[in-house]
Amino acid sequence: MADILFETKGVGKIYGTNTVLHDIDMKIHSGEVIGLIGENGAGKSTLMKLISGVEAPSMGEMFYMGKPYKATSIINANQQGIGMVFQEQSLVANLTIAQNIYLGREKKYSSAGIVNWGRMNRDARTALERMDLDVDPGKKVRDIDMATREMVEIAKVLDVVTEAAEGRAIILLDEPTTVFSDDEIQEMYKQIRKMKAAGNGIVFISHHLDEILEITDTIYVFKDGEETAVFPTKEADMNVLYEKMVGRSTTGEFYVEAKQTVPEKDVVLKVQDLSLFGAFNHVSFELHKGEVLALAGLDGSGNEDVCNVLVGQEAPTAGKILMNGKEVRFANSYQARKNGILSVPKDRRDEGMVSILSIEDNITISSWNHLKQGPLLSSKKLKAAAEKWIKEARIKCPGLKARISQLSGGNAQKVIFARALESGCQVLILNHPTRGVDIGAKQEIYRLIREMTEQGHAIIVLGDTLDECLGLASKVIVFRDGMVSGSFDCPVDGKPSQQEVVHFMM
Amino acid sequence: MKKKIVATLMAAAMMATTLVSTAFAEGTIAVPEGVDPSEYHLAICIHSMDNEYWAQEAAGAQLAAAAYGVESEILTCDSDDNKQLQGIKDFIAQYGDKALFVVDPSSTANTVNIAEVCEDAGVYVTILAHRAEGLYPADYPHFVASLMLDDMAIGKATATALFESIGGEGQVVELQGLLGDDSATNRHAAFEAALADYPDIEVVDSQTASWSQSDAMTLAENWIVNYPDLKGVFSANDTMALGAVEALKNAGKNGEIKVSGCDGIEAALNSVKDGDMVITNANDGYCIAGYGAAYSIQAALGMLDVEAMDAADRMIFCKTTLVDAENADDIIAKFIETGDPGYDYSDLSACFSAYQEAE
Amino acid sequence: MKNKWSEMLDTLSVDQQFVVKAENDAKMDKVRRFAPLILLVVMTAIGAVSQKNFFSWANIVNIMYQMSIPLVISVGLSFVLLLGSIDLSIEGMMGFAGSFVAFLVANKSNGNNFGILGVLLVVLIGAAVGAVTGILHTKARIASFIVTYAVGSIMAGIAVLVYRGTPIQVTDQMFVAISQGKLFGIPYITLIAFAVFLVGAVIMNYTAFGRAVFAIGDNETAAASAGINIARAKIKVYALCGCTAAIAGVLQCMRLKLGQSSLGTNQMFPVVTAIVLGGGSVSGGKGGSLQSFVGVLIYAELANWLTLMGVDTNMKKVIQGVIIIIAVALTVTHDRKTVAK
Repeated sequence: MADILFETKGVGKIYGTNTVLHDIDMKIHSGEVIGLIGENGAGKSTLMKLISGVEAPSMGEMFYMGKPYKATSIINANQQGIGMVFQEQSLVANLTIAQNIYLGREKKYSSAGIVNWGRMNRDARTALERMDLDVDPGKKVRDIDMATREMVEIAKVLDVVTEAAEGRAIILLDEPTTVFSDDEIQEMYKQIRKMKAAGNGIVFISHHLDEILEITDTIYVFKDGEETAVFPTKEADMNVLYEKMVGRSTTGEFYVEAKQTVPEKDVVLKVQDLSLFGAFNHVSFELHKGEVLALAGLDGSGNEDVCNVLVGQEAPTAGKILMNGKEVRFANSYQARKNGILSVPKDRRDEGMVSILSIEDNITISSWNHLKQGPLLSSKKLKAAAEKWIKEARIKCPGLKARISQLSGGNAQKVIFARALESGCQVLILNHPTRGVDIGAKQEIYRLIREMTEQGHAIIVLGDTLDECLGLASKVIVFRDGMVSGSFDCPVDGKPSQQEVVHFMM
Repeated sequence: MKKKIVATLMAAAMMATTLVSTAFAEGTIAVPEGVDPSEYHLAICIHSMDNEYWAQEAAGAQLAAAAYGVESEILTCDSDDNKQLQGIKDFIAQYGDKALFVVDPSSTANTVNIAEVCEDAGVYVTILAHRAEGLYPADYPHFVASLMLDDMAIGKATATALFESIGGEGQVVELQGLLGDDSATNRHAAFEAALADYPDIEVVDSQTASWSQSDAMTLAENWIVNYPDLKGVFSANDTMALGAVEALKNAGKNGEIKVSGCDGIEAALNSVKDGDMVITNANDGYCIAGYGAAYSIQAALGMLDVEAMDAADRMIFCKTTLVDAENADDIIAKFIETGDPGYDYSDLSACFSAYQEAE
Repeated sequence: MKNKWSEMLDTLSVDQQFVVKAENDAKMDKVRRFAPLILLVVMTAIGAVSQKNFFSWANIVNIMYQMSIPLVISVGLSFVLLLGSIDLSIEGMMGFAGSFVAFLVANKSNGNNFGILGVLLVVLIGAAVGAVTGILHTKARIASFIVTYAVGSIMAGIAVLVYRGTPIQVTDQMFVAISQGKLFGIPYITLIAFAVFLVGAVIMNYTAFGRAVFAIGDNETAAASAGINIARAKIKVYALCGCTAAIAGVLQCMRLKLGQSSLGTNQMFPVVTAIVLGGGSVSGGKGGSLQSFVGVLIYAELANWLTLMGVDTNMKKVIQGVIIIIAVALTVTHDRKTVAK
C-alpha cells in the first residue's frame, strides 16, 4: 500500500475523571478514505478534535508524515496540512464566499491594511473550481443554499490544506452529507475521489452505513471511546457493522434492572399524532405512571425535538398533548411545569445550573412557590427540602449555601434531579442524564431513576447510548429521520438485543 | 409610533396656544395710507413653547403684531437648524412677499442661513439673541436688525447687586452654567469683571451645576457646611439659584445668605418677592421679541426705510429689567399675571439699551 | 507559561485539582465581594483625614440628603441590572412624576390640592407604566434599551405638557415639611429612601420573585428549564423600577419644590455607576441590594468630598472618571470567558 500519511498511537482523551477516548491506533495512507462509525458519544468527534487541533490528547502520540505531530489550534493544524469540515457549519453568513474562504488569511491580499478584494475573489474562484463549484465568490453566504454552503466549506478547507501540503493533506469530514440530496451526495463522492486521487488522506464520518460502504477503503468502528474493529471495506457488510457498533450489552445489574417497575395502567401523558414542521411528523405514544420510556435515535432524528415540544420550548405544528386525559398547550417551560412536566436539560452547565445560586436554591428553584411563609420564602422549608435531597441523592457538597459551581459533574447532575423531584412533577424528561459523568455517578443516577418510578413518576429518557435506553426503559420508541421507525417493549426478563433495535435507527 | 402620538399631542397643544393668542385687539397703531396690514403674516420663530422665556418671546411678538394689525403665527423648531430653516422656507412659499419674520435662531451658526434665505426671497427679518461672527445687517437690505441681550452687562449688574447686598465684602461662591455653553462663559466673565471692583469679596469656590437645580442644591448644601461664613451665592441662572435657595431653606439660612439669579422665570420672581433671592434679571422676552417683530413689521409696511438706517442702529442690545424686592410685585403683575407689560411697540427706540460693539 | 497552579499539576489528580480550583474561586469571589466595602472604608478614612468638616454632623446629614434619591433609584435599577437589562426610562419617568405630582398637590399654578392621594396616584402610574414597558419588552420582544428609551421620551414629553413651559411651584405644606424635617437628626427624605430600600432588599432577598431575578440574570436558559416564569418576573422588575423611579421623582420634587421635566436629568447614569462600584454588573447576575447601597454611599461620599476639597470642576470630572475605572476594574471578574461588551 501507499505511504502512511498520518498515524495515531495509543491516543486518548480524559475529561475530569471521565475517559471518553482510549487507546486509539489509526493509520491514514496517502489516497485512502477511512470510514469512521459508531453510536453517538462513541468518541468519533473527539478523535477528530484531537487531530484537527481543537483539543490536545491526554495520552498517546500522533505522527504526520513520519514526524511527531502536535497542533495547538485549528489554524496551526491547517498550516501543517490538516483540515476539518465541522458538523455544524462554521461559515460566517454575512460575509461573502471569498471572505469566508480567506477568513484569517486576508493578509496576503492586503497592503497597508487595504484588502484587494478583486484578487481575493479571483483566487476564491480557483478554489471553488477545484471542487467543480460554479458560484460567484462575491455572493454573501446567507444567500446560498445549505448544500452549496457545505461544499464551500469543504472547498475552503481543501484550499487551506492544499496550500500547506499539496497531495499529502489530511481532510476530516464530520457527517458532511446530512444536508444533501441523492444527486448532491453523488457529487460529493466525486469530489472525495478527486481528493483521494490527488494523494490526500480522508476521514469520513457518517451515520449512513450505505455511504460508508460506498466511498471508503477502510472502516474503523468505535464503541464507548474504544476502537472495536478495523477492516477493509470490501470485507464488510451491514450486519457485521451493526454488530461491531453496538458491542456487548452491559449486564442488567448495571442498570439496576431488578428495581425496574411494571408500569401502572393509568396514562399520565398521551401524545397524539404530534408533528413539528421540519423536525418530526406523526408521533404518537402513551406514558404511564411509573414507566420509563426511552426515545432512541441518532442526533437529528427528532427525538429531542419531541421533548422540546413537551416542555413548551417549541409549539407543535399539529397534533395533541394530553395530560391525564386533558388537552394541554404550553407557551413556555413555566406552563409545562405548572402542568406537571419538567425536564432535566442535556447541557447541565449551560442550561441547567444557575451557578451564582447556592446548592439549596438550585434544588428548590422549581418549588419556590410552595416553600413560602406568607409572601416570603421560608428559609426553614428551603433548608429542610435541600437537606432531604442531599441525603437521599447522596450529593457530596461542602454545604447547603455553597455555590453549585463548586460541585463536580455527577453531583451537579444529582442536584438538578433533586430539583425535579422536589417540584413534584408527574412527568420528568431526562435529556442525556448521564452525559459526561463517571461510571460511579452514572449508577447512582440510574438508582435515582428507579426510585422515582417507584414513587410513581413517569419518565421519558433520551439515552446517551442504545444500551442505556434498553437497560433503563420499559419501553423504547425508535426515531429515524423524524418518524417513529419502531417500538419495543422492554420487560426486565425480555429485553430486545441492541442488534435488533439498531436497524431501526440507521 | 408612540413618539409620533406625543408629537401630535404637543402640536395640538401648541396650536391651541396660537389660536388663543391671535384673538388680540387689532390695529391700535396707525399704518401708512393704502396699506392693509392684515395682508401681512409674521412668523414668530422660536425653539419651543416649553420654556417660560421662549413662551414670553412668542407672547411679546404676538402683542406687537396685533398692535399693528398684522397676522401672526408661531413656528417652533426644537433647536433643530434644518427644521427652523425649512419652516421659514415653507412660510415664504405660502405668503410670498407678504411674509415677515422675527427669529430666535436655533443656533448662532444658523443665523447666516436665515439672513440669506430671507434676502433671496426679499422678505424682512429681525434676528434675536444670536449673530454669527462677520454677519452684519448692513450687508443685507432685508435683514432689518440684530437685537441681542447684553450678557456681560446683565451678569455684571446682578453680581454688583449681590455684592452690594452683602455690604461689598465677605465670602461668595459662584454657580456656573453648563461648561462650554456661550451664556455660561459670558456670565462667568461678567462675574469676574464685577469682582474687579470689589477687592473685599472673596470667592471661596466656583463650580458648575450645568444649569441644573438639583446639582446646584447639592453644591449649596456642601458649601453651607464647609463655609460657615458664606455671605452670598452668585448663580448664572434662576434655576440654579432656586436650587441654592432650597438648600438654604433646609439649613434655615434663606434670606440670610444672599442669592442672585438671572433670566426672571416666574419661580425666581416669587423668590425675590419672598426675600429668598436678592436679585434677578428679567430678560424680558416681551421687549426683545416684541420690538424685534416691530422692526420687521415697520420695514414691511413701509414705515421704516431700512437702507437709510445707520449701520449701528441695526445692531443693538435690548433693555432688560433688574428685579429686586422693590419692583418684584410690579414685574410679576406685568409679566405673569396680565401677560402684557404695556409696551408701546410703535416707538422702536424704547427697547434700546446700548449699541453692540463692532467686532 | 507558568502560574501558581503549575507546581500542583503533577502532585494532584484532576479531580483534586478541580476541588482546589473551585475553593480558590470561592475565596476570590469573597474578596471581590468585600472589595467595595473596603473601598468605602478607605474613602471615608481619606475624607475624614483630609477634611475637618467631613465628619461633622451637618455634613453627614448632607451626605444622607445627597444619597437619598440615588438610593431610591438604585432599588428598582438593581433588579433591572441583575437581569442584565437597562432601564433608560428612569429619567423621563422622574421628570414626569415630579411634574405631575407638582400639578396635583397644592401649587401656585392651579387649585389642585390632592396631597398624599396625588403622590400615591403618581407612584401607581409609575408602576403601571413600568409594567407596560415590561410587557412591551417581553411580549413584543423589543430590546430593553430601545423600549425604555422610547417610554422615557414619552414620559418626558408628557411632563412638559403637564406644566406647559412654566415649571409648577409647589406650596404643599406636606412637601415643605418632608423636605425640611428631620427625625433624630435624620432627614425625612432619607428615612423614606431607607424604607424604600428596605422593602426592595426584602423583595430581592426573601421572595421567590427576587431569587428568580438572580436566576434569570445569571442563566436565563437554566431558569426557564427549571420552570420559572421568565416573562412575569421581567414585567414585575420593570413595574418595580417604574415605581421607584416615580418615587424618586416625587422626592426630587419635594426637595426642589419645582415641578419640571429636568428633575430627572442626569439622574440615572451616576446610579448605574454607583451600582457597579458596589459590585453589580451591567451584564447581569451579579450584585444585590446591599451592594447597591454601598455603591450609592461610595458615590455620594466621593462627590461630597470633592466639593469640600474645592476641587476644580473640570478636574472633578477627571478624578471621578479615573476612580470609577479603577474601582470597576478591581471588582470585576477577570475570567477569560467573560466577554466585555
